[in-house]
Order: sequence, then C-alpha cells, then structure tokens
Amino acid sequence: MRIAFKNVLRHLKRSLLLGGAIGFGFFVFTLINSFTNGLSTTVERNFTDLFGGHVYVTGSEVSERGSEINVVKDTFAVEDAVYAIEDKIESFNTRSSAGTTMVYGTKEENQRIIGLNFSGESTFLETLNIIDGSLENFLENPNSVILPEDTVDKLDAIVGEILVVRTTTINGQQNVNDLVVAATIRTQEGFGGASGYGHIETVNQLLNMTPDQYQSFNIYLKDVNDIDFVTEELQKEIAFFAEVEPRAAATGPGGAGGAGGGARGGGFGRGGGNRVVPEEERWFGTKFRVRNLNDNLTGIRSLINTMDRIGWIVFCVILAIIMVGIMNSYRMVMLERTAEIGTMRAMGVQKGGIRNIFIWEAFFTALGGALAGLLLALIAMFIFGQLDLSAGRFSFFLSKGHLQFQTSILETARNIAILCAMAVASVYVPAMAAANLKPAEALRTSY
Amino acid sequence: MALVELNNVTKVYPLGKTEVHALKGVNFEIDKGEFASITGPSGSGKSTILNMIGCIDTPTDGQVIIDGVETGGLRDKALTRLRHKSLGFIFQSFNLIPVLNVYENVEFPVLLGKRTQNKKEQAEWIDYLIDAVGLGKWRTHKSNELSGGQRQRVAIARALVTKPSIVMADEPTANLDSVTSEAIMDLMRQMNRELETTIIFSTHDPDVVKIADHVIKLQDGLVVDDFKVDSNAGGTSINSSGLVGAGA
Repeated sequence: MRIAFKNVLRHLKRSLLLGGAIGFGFFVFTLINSFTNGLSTTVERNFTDLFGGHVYVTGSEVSERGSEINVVKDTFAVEDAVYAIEDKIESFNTRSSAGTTMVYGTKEENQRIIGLNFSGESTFLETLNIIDGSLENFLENPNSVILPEDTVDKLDAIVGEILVVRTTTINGQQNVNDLVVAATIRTQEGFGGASGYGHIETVNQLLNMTPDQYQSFNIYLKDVNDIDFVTEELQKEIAFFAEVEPRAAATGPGGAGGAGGGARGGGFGRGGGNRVVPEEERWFGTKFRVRNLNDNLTGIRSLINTMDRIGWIVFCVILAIIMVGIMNSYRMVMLERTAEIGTMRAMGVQKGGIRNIFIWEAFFTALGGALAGLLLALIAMFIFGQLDLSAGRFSFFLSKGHLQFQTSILETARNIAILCAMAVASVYVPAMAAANLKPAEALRTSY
Repeated sequence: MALVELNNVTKVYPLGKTEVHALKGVNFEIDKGEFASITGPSGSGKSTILNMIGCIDTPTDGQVIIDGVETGGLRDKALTRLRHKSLGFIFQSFNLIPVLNVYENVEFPVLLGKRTQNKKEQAEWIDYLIDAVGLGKWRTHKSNELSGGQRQRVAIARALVTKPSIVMADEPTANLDSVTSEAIMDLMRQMNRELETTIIFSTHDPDVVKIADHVIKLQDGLVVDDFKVDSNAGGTSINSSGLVGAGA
C-alpha cells in the first residue's frame, strides 16, 4: 500500500490528469445530484406551503339550486377523524379561497385570494418573499391583503392603497368589499404560485361563509413518509361520519381537476366550483375528499426523477470514459514498470502483491479525484446558492429566490465507493497482466 | 551435500519461428559458502543459469536443486516463497525501487514475509547492512540521488537483508568503472566471508573472475570448465577436460 501511494506521487502529473478527469466527472455528477435533491425538497416544501400542508380534506355540498359548492360546514366530522391520527400530526389549519376581480381606479385585474388562518401557518409566512410593505401591516389589519407584485403593478396601485374587491359567493351571488394592500410579494409563476393572501375570516365573508367554516382542512405531518398512511386513515375515519369520495375518484381523472384546481386555487375541492350536479348524482350534506401532496406532485416528481436519471446517465458515461482512461493508463504503467515488477517478483513479492499495488494505486487516484471533485462541487454549490434568481420565471423551484442544493453524506459516500470500485475494476485487467508477468522475462524487458 | 545442483539442464527460448538453445545440458554443483563465478562470453548462458538457480525461470529440461529441493516441482507461490526466504539478487542495472529511499529499499524484502525479528532488531540489522556497505549517510536518499557504485551497494545490502543462503549477482560490475568494480567485488567477498552467504556471480571480466574460489566457465550453453581455486595452490579443476554435460 505504501509503494502504491508513493507510486501515485511518483508520476504526479499523470496522477493529477487522471485524478482530475475522475474529479471532474464526480464534480458534474455531485452537482446534478445535489441540484435534483435540493429541487425535490424545495418544490415539495413550496407545494406544501402553497397548499398549507401535506394532507388536505375538502368538502362540497349541493345547493338548493343543484350547484356544487365547495364548503365544509360540518367541521366536526373532520375534527373527530383527525383525533384518531393526532400522534402523526405536527399542526393543522384551515383555508378558503376566492376568485376575485380587483378594481383600482379604472383598472381591473383578476386575482385569487387564499384566506389563511395565520396563527397556524407561521412557517408559510416565513416563505413569502415580501418586496414591499410588511407582514405586520397585514397581521394588524383583518381587511388587508398580500398581493403578487404583478397584480399591483397592473392596477397601478401601491402598498397602502384600498382596492375594491368583487367576488361571487359560494351560493352564486355577487359580493363586494374594500381591502387594503398590506404588502406585495415576488410573483411565483406557474403552479398557481401567483395567489394573493388574506385573512380567512375576510375571505369567508366575501364568499358568504361563516368565520368557522372553511373550504380546506390542511394537515402538516411530523413525518412526510406517513403521508399515504394518514390519507388512508383519514379517509376511513371520516367515512364513519359522512360521505367520502373514494381515493381513486379523488386522485383519478375526475380528481385531476381537483389537483389542478387545487394548484391554482390552493387545493380547494374540484376546482370546477358551482357546477350543476345532475339530479341522479346529488347528495345530502357534505361530501368529503381527502388528498395529499403526492397527488399534486406526480408531474413535478416525474420531472425531477428524469433529471436525476440524466445525472446518473452523465455519471455512467463519465465513469465509462474514466474506466477506459484508467485501463489504458495502467497498461502503459505496466509496460513502464516491467523491470521493476520483475525485480519485486525476484525478491519474493507474490503475484497478488503486484496486483494489489496496481489496485491500491487506482484506488488512491480515484479516491483523491473524487474528494477533489466533491470539494469543487461543494464550492460550486455554495456560489450558485448565493445567486439571487428570484426575478426569473422559475421562482417556484427556488427557496426564497435561491437555488437549493442538498447533499446526503450517505449518498455521497456510496457514490465515492461506486467510483472507487469501478476504478479498481478497470485496473484489474492490467493489474493481473502485471502480476502474471514471468519474473525472468520482466527483468529482461526494457522499453 | 551441494547447496546448488544442476543436472542436465537445458533451456530453449522460442524466438519467432525459430528456437534459441541457451543451455544445452548443464551440470555443476556449488557448495555452501562458496564465492562462485559463472563466466563466459556474452550469450554463453550465464544469466540464464543464474535465473534458473534464482528460481525466476524454469528449465526446459533437467533438474535444478536448491538446498535439496527440486525446484521444477514447485508452483509459483512456493517458488516465490523460496526466493524470498533463501535467495537474494543483485542486478547489473541495480534495479532499485525508485520511489523508495536507501533504507526503504533495503527494508523492502523484509516486509514481504513473516517477521522473524522484533522491530528494533530488524531496524538494527538494516542499519548494520547500510553501514557495512558504506551508505550510512545516504540512508534517506532516493536511488536517483546516488551514483552507480552507491546504487549497487544498496542492492548488495538489499540482497543480504533476509539472510539468504544464496545471493545471485548478474554482472554486478558491468555498469561500473574499474575502481568501483573492485570495491564492489571486495564488499561482496567480505559479505561472503562474514555472513557465510554463498554468492554466485556472473561476469565476463577476467579480473573479476580472479577473486572467485569456484569458477564455472560457459561457452555456447555448455560448461567448458569448472574448477575450485585453492588459495594456497592455485586451481583444482573438477571438469578441466572441457565440455561437460548431457550433450558432451
């Protein structure tokens, strides 16, 4: 091992080139891998914050006129069901959502307002990228809203101005209220991120709902891995008290509208809202639907998995190039050291000893290259992580305007182990050729 | 019993479509403690014979017996163990390991086998050998910082470090000037006497042959003369008639 280590240093230039190639490969792979890991976590967190939790219970009723209205009036059914799984729950909150038309002077702009119970959503508040006004303004005034900067710009309004807000109640009537712009936030484009936020009581008032009613009951879990278990349990528990849509319907094609609508509106029922229910399909009381984050993230997860796979493909291609490089380099090394190998064999080094020198050399080179690549990747991650990208179109993939990279120690250790193992595998053939050299022939050889 | 015994040894090397008969049936014996010289012109088979005795090459036919062990029946692992335990090598081109310094080069063969001495004794023994070959001040230098004579001294110390019963030296002075050559041969002779190690060396230099107490002369793959030198009364020829061996 000592000789192998010294051999690495002996041809420093060659070792640096070979280690550099390995390091570059590992750098690219680690960067992509950490980026996709970070992206997955960021998107998951952004979605969780956008929807206000991991698991959502929504409800709808059939109005006297036969329209489906998204509202949960029977709050006991949900609350009773939640007690059955309370050990899994971190916190819960309620939300409502109104599609509004905001009027300022002669200008109008459509804007969805999500009514939040802010006492239960402090984590979400921290994620809002406020660029003007303040959260304090908003919390102090129940008749205020936080709006995306684009909406405020289009209305030619500024923070502190009063807007006329027009909406349709859950029963289909028109309603109007005045709301103050308390703050503006960076517009998060795509995935329904361009929502405004208000107090749930105010939004309920706009929708003609009582303050204790809501459209969505959202649950944050202690462990996100329990998401499917909790969803199924809630489904079962609520079914004791009320009608519940089967999971397949909630997440299937029919529910896709809900998921999409949920994304646009923050997860509030089918999204269609106020559709006329055919006579034979009508129901009495509240019909619940239970969904979870995974239902909404299928597309995004698929995208991230694709990126992850691309990362692995890049890694495999680089690995293959490196393996060929290592194999060729060590074939040359074997030729260079033929007489030295003969000397060692003459002195009593067994074949395995010669083979191991080559293997350890490749291992040290690969390990050194991988560690250098990792270091470079960490530096690059730090630099990229400092860039403020919040003005771009993809702010939903960012954490407060910054790219987030996530590196797992175990994953990195596994990847280094794979790299070293492949390096050892690629050097095995020349190592065995060196070990099998006949001492006398090796001593006679000179290149 | 002879320490080294070659019985009717032949060696044929393939060379393209033809064959080269390097040894054509060689017989001789070397006793323990001898300072034996294998001499002859270039291409006479000196190095081939040393390779056979050193167990780094195998004969095409015949027997090579080292300390009572017929080496032809041994597998590679056993041959390697035998080389490590009983044989030392000194090469014409020194063949030091370039990444190691003087001390490490001498120490290297010791590290290959089971430890027979404690660490302190082992270090003292290596230091003794390095001092004995006159390289005490150079122990931390690498081979590329040494002269040819110094490198060969390192090789001598390395060959002796495992206390082998036989040391083979293939043209040990071929790459050295005459003064250094004489010094190296004196050193080898001194080691032969002090450590009672059998030393077998090949050379085509008549001045170097003079120092040997057993001379084996080769020509065209055959032993043409084999005699021991009595320090009091000149040479005692064993096979002075000339061609000796199966072919003769």
